[in-house]
Amino acid sequence: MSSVDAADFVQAPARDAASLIAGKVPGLAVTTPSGDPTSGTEISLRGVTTLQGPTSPLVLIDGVPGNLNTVAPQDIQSISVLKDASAAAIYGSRASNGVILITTKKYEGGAPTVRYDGYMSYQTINRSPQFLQAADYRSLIAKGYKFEDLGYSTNWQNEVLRKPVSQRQNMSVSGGTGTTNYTASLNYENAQGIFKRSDNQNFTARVDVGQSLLNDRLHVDFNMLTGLNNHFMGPDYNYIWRQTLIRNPTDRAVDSTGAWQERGTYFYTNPLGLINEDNGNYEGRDLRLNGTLTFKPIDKLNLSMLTGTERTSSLTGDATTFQHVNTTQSGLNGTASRSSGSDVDRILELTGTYSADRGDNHATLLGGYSYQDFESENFYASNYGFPTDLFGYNQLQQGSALTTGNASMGSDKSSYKLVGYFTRLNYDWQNRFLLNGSLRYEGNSRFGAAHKWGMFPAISAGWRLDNESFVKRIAPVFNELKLRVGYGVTGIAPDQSYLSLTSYRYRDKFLYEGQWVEGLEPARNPNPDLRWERKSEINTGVDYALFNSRLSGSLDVYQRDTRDMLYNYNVPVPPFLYGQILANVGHMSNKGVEAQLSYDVIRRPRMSWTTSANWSVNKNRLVSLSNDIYQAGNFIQAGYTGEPIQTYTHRVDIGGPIGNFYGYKSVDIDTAGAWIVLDSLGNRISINDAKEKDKRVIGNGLPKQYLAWNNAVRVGNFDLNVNMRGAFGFQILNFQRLYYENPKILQYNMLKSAFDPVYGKRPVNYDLAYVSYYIENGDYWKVDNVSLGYTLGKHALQRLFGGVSDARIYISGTNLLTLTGYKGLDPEVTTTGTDGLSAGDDQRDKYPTTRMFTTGISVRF
Amino acid sequence: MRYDKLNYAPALLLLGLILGPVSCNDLTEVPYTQVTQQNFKPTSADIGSLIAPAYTPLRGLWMGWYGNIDTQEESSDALLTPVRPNGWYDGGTYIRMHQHRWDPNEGQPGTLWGNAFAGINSANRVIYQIESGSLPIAGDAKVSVPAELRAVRAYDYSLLLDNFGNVPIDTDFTATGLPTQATRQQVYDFVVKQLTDVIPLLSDATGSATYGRMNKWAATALLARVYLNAEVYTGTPQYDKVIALTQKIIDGGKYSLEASYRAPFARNNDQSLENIWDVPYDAINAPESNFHMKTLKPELRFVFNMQAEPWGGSASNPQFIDTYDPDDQRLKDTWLMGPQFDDAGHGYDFVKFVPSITKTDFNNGFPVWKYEIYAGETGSSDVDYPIIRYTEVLMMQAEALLRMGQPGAAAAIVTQVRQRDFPTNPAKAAVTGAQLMQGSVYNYGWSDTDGIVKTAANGTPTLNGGAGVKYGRFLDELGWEFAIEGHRRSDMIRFGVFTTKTWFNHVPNGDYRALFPIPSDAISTNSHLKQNPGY
Repeated sequence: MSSVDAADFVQAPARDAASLIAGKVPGLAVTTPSGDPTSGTEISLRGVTTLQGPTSPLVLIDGVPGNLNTVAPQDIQSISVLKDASAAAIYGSRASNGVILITTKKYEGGAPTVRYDGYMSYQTINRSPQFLQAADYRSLIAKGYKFEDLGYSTNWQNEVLRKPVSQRQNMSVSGGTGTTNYTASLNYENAQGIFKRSDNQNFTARVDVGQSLLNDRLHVDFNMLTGLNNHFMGPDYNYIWRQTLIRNPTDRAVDSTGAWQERGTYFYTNPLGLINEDNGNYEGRDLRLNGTLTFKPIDKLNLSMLTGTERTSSLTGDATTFQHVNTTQSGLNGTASRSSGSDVDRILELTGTYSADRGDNHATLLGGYSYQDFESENFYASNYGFPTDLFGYNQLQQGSALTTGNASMGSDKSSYKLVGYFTRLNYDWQNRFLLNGSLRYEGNSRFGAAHKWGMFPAISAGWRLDNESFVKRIAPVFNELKLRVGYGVTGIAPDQSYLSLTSYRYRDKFLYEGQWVEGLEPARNPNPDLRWERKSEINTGVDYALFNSRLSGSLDVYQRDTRDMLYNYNVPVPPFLYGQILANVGHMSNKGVEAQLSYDVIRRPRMSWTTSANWSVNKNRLVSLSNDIYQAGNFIQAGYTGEPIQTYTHRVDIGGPIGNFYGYKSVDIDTAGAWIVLDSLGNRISINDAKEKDKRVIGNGLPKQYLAWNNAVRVGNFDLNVNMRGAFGFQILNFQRLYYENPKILQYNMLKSAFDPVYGKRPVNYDLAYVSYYIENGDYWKVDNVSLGYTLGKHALQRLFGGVSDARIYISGTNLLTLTGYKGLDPEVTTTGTDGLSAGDDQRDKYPTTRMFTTGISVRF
Repeated sequence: MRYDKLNYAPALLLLGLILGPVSCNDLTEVPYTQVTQQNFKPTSADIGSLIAPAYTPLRGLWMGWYGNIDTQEESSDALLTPVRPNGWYDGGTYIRMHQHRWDPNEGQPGTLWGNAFAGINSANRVIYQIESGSLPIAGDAKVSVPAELRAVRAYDYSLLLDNFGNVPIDTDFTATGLPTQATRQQVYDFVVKQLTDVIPLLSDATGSATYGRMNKWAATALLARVYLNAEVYTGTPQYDKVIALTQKIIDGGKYSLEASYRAPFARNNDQSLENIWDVPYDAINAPESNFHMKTLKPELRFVFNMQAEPWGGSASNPQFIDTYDPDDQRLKDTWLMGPQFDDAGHGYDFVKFVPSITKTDFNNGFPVWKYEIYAGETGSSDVDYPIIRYTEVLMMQAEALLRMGQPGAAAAIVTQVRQRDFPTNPAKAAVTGAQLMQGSVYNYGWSDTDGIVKTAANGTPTLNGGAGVKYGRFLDELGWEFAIEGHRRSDMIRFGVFTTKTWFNHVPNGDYRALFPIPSDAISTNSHLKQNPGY
């Protein structure tokens, strides 16, 4: 387990809870691949362990499942990450991707306190793609290139992007008496995106009340959290970004009639019209209610009951005006849609803990039962052909598409259940030998009738060498030296219900005796054998601290094996009903090493400097993916270039690692501007003669190593934090160059570098093609965050403001500097891709990442 | 430590906590949006819904993306999908189709395979459900519905027979093992037997009672089509059977030639008396038809007042256009030619000339507008696709007669079909037996980048002209009448030109190309399947 306290969090505006611990936990890679303020981080813990199962970790907020956005970052006291299956196995099927335990700030005794935290930040684009400007167009036209000069000059990136300003305000109060305590907080965040109108607003309120009765034998805790999220939802900013980049810089934004200038070409739309003529709002509401009742009939026994419910709902509305291309080009006369969703989950957890001490023996036995059910419902309606665009999405019934049959509507509902029994025994002898064993027996309704229940055992042992007399004698410098070994099994369930059932659905109408009737077809290939994907993990490690704990750290070595791995198999039709079925067949292995080292360089009352580093390396292998029934072949293809190249980007060979790029290895360009690639024998051939068998592995998109280096310096009242991190040993497919560094088709704008000689010879004169020329080394080292704070002394404050007991002001910069050879916008790219298996595909439409500068203040009264 | 009663209490409490909530452990799933065998008891009122999945794959199969129109026509000498200013390279797939360099990953044959087997599987399932009694259907329907499904299944198999040859024959829904591969002869025998068996059981009603479905006439015409190609499939011709079967349909008197060539392809062609079996499309209810989007060019949206902006790919091969008699109305009725502009000047002046498969402008080559284009048309066309027209019944009989040495009788039928096609010069409708015995007027040969037929770029001597093609004139007649109806590949194979002639930027690439490769997805999931020879 790795824990990070609030004091050690990354001191910068956080996208979600994971941002707070980016680079702080070895083996946990937190990437922020998108600059969209509504998107979160991407978390990868100890490599890729599943092909098609869910990849999100289990997040428990004070013991109740939630997600990384549930609580405001300012309300978090500490974050712990259970990486090792021997610790996580008690969480069973939800724990395979790791368990993140978030502890919120609570009353800590003493006088009531009020806290205020606030910051303002502003952002700039991390790196601007260098596309042709109007002057470049004109000089190229003069050289004979057949670009179209429309007579104007527009810098489309400047038109569409802005320098966003964001803020967050957080106020909390906590207090209590001997038997009663309370904590309450209010949090408001308004994050602007780098595109005009792109935003994300969050409001959360939290109340926590606790009361002890019967001489502390009974404790009641009540917790309520409510959240409200709003953001502008109309247009797809990925598509807008593409339109911004490819739009002719000699065009104008608005035509002489005041309308958005359109050119009537396929997939070529004025991005300003898309942004300004689309009015959409997303509103998400979250309500969590939890109560815990703890009863101690005797000192050694603790009985606890947790009940709770979470209700999240969303309501969206989206409408385009009469000036939108939907109307000006497609003649739809206004479009509008509304949708709503509701998710309800309920939880009941009963636990009992019994502690026993006998001489040198200390044991704690835990037993429990947990029940969770989930229900999800959705509704959607859309219409077009409105008499006016004044009402937006508020009068859906007035659209004419409803009468012509072109309006659409849909509703949906699904549910599932998760039930678990668990027990755990902790035993230690003289605080020298430690033994832990746990067992979870868990059932999930999503599986086949005979496979609903699974058993998830774990065992671990520790030896505290520092408490051994011989260690004290021969190596007294050790303040801590602990050897650990653990083994545990966790599971993953598919994220869809009903996959094991034989059932029918209505789909695809059919003309029968003059009437269109709904066709009735099987809903899926039922898989009655669907069961748990099981990951077993063995972990050995050592924790150490020396020289009065000035130097401390840990080292872990693990191997994780995922068996019965879920994969969507291609199957023959017939005998199967459809071409794909989700089945448990595969086996994947991950091995790795993680190390952490921390050193107090300076440790003096008025001055301190702690430097810490962590490093992790992972090796991944898909061991097998076929059995007698389900054949995946010798490889699977993944990733997709999109139109018009239309090919896969990745291939996973059985026996090989996830993340391999697979395509033609380009080595040169011929005099006509066509690629020269290597054939399967290594001979140079024209790409015109290249065949599928000539493709090969041309890189890998999953970083092999992550390294982070964090420094905290305190001098007097000043504090300085410098966080740096990097990823090494991987490649990136630069889609921006793949699509925009090719001057063959001059209909769209392109990178200035499109006219640079390729392989020192000449520009490309070949249709867009996926070749290794566009695969680049992705290694990077980032100065991720630098913050400088000043804490106002208590005495100074009291002189100035009376009641203020503590205050800190700070400035910070995020994503400040990136050292990399990568030519794209940001080498911190996705480690999963859209399908989970296409790491390193840096899509051309990616919402660009930003650099952020922040000033903030924290005050405690 | 002291032991007393209290020490047992915790353990008992704990046990109680664990055993208490057992009642919450029912993990049976509750579906809200699907029917299961437990909650759905079908009646005869549900027949339409139940048989639907046997038919609906035909929609994607024919006029959908990578549909059979593309598969049959792009691989032929009639249609090109060249690179356009807005793209259409698409990984080279259209160029491979044109040059007969497709591989087992090619999307077009893969789509055909997938849709055909989806239909077969659904037919198998519903036949099983009826025969096993799990669908309680009574009366005539108990015989006619399975017969109809067997006929649809036979049609799917006839497509597989024609395009892939050696495919697995699977008729048992309860079988769970991997199907084994049959030879092309076995597939042929299966299709012939199935159709022969069910024809007497099928309804002979026409009109809305059987519209879009397999009736007796459709099955008969389909069987005739299989016999017409029997020599290709098995080496043994069956032309006498073609004549007998087509005569039954003619004698049935249910169908007739439309006065206008465009009527069978009009938006309201469900009313056409010429169309024996259609795939019904509907922009709202059956929206899979998008071939019009693929062939029309973007600015034609303004010319035709369409709602959707077409994508702008496929167009005519100039050599194919050159075969038409300029007075033949079918030329103008099939291809969109010359200047096409709206009042604001949007549009194109379409020319026959196409520089090459790798580089064109939007106006090179004629888009297909045989299937009616109408105001307000969306990305989904309402026009139904005629699988079998009465004209084909007549032309099949004519071809069989010609091949059996009766050119005069054949010519009389061809002349009958051509009556509507020469309004400005009616005399040209007449064709003689001697003409039908002539070669083709198609000027086969390599067209580089200037439209002039010459030696291929790779130095291959081109096989100029069609004069040596046996019954070539009849092949030309089929080309004009059935242009872009998905017949061209089969017709070219039957007349021996598909794998032997050069056209546009295509040179012959092996006789084995007369069959498509078994899709790699199918091979990789069924170890019993062997790839077709040559691939």
